Amino acid sequence: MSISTQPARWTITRPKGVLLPLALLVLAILAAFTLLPGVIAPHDPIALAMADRLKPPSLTHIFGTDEGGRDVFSRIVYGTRYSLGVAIAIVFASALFGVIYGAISGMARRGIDNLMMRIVDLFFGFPALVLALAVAASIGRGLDSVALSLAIIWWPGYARLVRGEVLRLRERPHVEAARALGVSEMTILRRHIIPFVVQEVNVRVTTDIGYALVAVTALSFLGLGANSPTPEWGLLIRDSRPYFGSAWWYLVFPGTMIMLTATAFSLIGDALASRRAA
Amino acid sequence: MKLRNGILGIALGLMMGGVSYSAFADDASTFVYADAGEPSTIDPAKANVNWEFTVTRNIYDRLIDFDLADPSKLLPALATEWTQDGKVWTFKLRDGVTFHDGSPFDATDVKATLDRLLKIGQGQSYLVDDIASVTVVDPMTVKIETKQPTVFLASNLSRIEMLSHVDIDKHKDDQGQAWFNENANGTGPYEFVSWTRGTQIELKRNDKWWGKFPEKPFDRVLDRFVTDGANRARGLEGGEFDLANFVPLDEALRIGTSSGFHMVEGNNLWAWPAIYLNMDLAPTNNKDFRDALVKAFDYNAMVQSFQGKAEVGRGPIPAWFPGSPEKEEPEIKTDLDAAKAALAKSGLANAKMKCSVPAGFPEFRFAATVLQSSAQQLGVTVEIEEQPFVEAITAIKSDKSNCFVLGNANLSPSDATKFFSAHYLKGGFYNSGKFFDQTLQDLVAKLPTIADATERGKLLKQAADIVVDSHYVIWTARPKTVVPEPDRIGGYRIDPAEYINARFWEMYSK
Repeated sequence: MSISTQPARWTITRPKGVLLPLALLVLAILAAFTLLPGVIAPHDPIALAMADRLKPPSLTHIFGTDEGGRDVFSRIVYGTRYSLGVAIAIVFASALFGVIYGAISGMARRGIDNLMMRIVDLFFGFPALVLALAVAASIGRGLDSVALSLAIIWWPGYARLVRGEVLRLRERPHVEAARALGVSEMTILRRHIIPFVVQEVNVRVTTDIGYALVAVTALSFLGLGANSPTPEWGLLIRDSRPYFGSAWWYLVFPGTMIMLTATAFSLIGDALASRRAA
Repeated sequence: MKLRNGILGIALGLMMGGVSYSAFADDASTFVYADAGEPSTIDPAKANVNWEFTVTRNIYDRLIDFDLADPSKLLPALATEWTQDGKVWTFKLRDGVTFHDGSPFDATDVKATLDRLLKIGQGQSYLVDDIASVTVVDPMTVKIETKQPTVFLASNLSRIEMLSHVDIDKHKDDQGQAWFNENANGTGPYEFVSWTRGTQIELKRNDKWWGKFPEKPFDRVLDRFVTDGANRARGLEGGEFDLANFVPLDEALRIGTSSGFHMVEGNNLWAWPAIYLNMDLAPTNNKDFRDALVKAFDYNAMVQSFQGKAEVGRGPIPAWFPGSPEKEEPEIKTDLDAAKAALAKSGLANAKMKCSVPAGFPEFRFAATVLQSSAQQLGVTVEIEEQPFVEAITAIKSDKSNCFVLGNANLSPSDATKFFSAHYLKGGFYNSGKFFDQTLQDLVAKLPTIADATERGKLLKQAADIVVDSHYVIWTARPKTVVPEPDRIGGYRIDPAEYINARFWEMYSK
C-alpha cells in the first residue's frame, strides 16, 4: 500500500451533463459583472429617470425599470460586487479564522481542545440566522455589520471541519513518520496536515459562497443590510415589494439572480467534492 | 408513503384555507379591515397612531363631529348645541344616549373624560390643553373654561372620545390606564368584543346607537393587523379584506381601476413626505445650505412618483385646510442655479450629511432618494439610513442625523396652530430638527385668541412665512390619498384632517 504525502491536485475534469458548464457560465458572467460593471451596465444604476418609472422589460431596459426609472439590469450588474463581494468576504474570513482555530484545537491537548470545541458548540446552540439577526441589529445596520455578523456565525463550521480533519490526519502514517523523525508539531501542521485540510475547505468554501449570498441578501431584505440606493440584490427585492402587483420584473429578476448564483456555486462545490471523493 | 401523506396534508390544508376564505367572502354582515399595525393601547386618552384610532373612533363618540367635505363646518354629536362667551364654552348634551354597558351618558362623563385626559397628558391631549376647568351645570349641560379665549375648542373636541365616569371611577388607581388599555365601553356605533393579540380586534355593531347607520351596515368588524403594505394590497385584491389602509399608491391605483373595484380619492395628512433638516448639526445648521437643498430638490420627481396625483406644497399648512395662507405663498420649485449660488454662499461645497428614514414607508424612502439624487448635483453627499421609527427620530434628535422624513400630523379639522405645535414649536414631539423661533412661539400662542378670521389669517401667514423662510423643511409633495374600495361595499370617505381611517358606521354592503 502506498500512502501519498502530497495533496491531490485540483482540476475540474470535463463534466457530465450540462449543469456544470452552465454553472461555470454563470460564474463567468458574475465575474464580468463584478469586474466590468461600467462596461456591461447600459444605464446609470443610481440616477433617477422618472420618465421611465416602472417600465416593463423592453429592448432599452431588458429587466425593466424600478420606481425611480432606474434600469433594473444595470442595478443588478452593479449590485453584484455588493452582494457577491460581501458573501465571498464572509466565507473567506470565516474560513481563514476557522482553519486556524480548528487546527489549533485539533493539535492541542485534550483540555484545551475540549474548551475550544465547547465554545464552538455555543455558536451551534443558536439558530444561525437568528443569531446573525441579533448580532447585526446590535451592531447597527449596513453591509459592514451584515458581513461581520455572518462571519461570526459562519466560522464555527470551518473550525469543526478542520479540527476533525486534523484529528484524522495526525494519526496517518506519514505524520507519525515525520513526528518520529523529530519534526516539530508546527511544521507537521504546516507541511503535512494543512495542505490536506485545505482541500476539504476549498469544497466547502465554494458551496458556502452561495449560502452566504442567500444570507446576505436575506439580511438586506429584512432591512439590516445595505441602505438605499445601493443596488444590493436583497435590498432590490425589499424595495420591489410594494410594486410587485404592478411591476413583477422588479422582484423577479433580482430574485432569479440570487437563485442562479447560489445554485451555480452549489453545483461547482458539488463538482469539486465529487472530484475530491474520486 | 410519507411523501404522499405530506402532499395530501398540504392539499387538505389548502382546501380548508379555501373554505375559510370563502366563508369570509360570502359573509356580507362581517367587515374585514386590514390595518397597518396592532394598537399598543385602545385607551382614547393615549391613542396616538392610525391603527389605535381605528378602534377608538368607532367605539367611542365625541361631543362634536365635522363635515368631511368642509372641516370648518361643525356638526352635532354627543353635544347638540354649544356657545362661546369669551373663555367659557357651554355644551348641551344629547339626551337618551347610553354606553355599551347600558349606563346613561351625561355631563359627569364629559368632565371625568376631560379631567382624565389632561391629567394623563398623552395622545390627543395637546388638542385641548388650553382647558382650565370643566364644570357640570346639570346632567345635560357642561361648561368648559379655557385658559385664554380660544376659537378652536369646539373644533378640537371633535377628536376627543367620551368615556364613562363609572369606568374611570372604578379604575382610579392608575387613571384607569391598565383597564382602558385593553377594554372599552363607549357610546359609539361599534362595541368592543375581543382582542386576539397579534391577529385582530373584533367589534360588533351597537344597534342602540343614537346615530343612523346606512342600509345594510356591517354587524361585525374584524380589524386585522397586517403590517406589510404589499400583503394588505394582496388581501384586498383577493377578497380576503373588505378594505385596507396605507395601500401603496401604485397598488392602490392598479387595484382601484381593476374590475370589481372603484377608487376613493381625497386629502389626508399622513402621506406627506416632508424632510425635516437638523438645525443643530452641521452642515444643515447653516441656513444657506438648507436653502440650497430646498432649491435643488427635484419636486417633479416626487410628483411623478405619485403618478401625478400630488402637488408641491408651499408651506406648512395645506391649501385645503380652513384658513390656509398657502395660496398667497410663493411657489416652491427646483432651481439648480439658485441652489448652487446658495451653496456657494454657505461655503459648504462637497458637504456630507445623513438622512434617517422611518422604515416601512416607500414614499418616505423615495423622498430621501430624491434628496440624495438632487444633492448630488450640488456635490453634496447624502447617506440614507432606514430605521424603525423610534430609532430614526431619535437619530436626528440626538444629532446623529441631519434629516428625517415624516408626514405632518394635525388631528384638528380646523385649528391650523396644531400644525405648528407638534412640528415647529419647542418641545413638540415631531420637531425632530429642533426648530425654534420665539416670534413663531408667540404667534402660535396668540392665534387661537383672535376671533376675527381675517386678522387670524394674517397672523397665520406670518407664522407660515417664518417656517418657510427658515428652510427647515422640504415639503417634497402632497399626494392625494387613493383608497381602492370593492364594488361590493360602499360608504368609505377619507377624513381630510386625519390619517387614513375607516368610519365603520358609514360602511355598508351592496
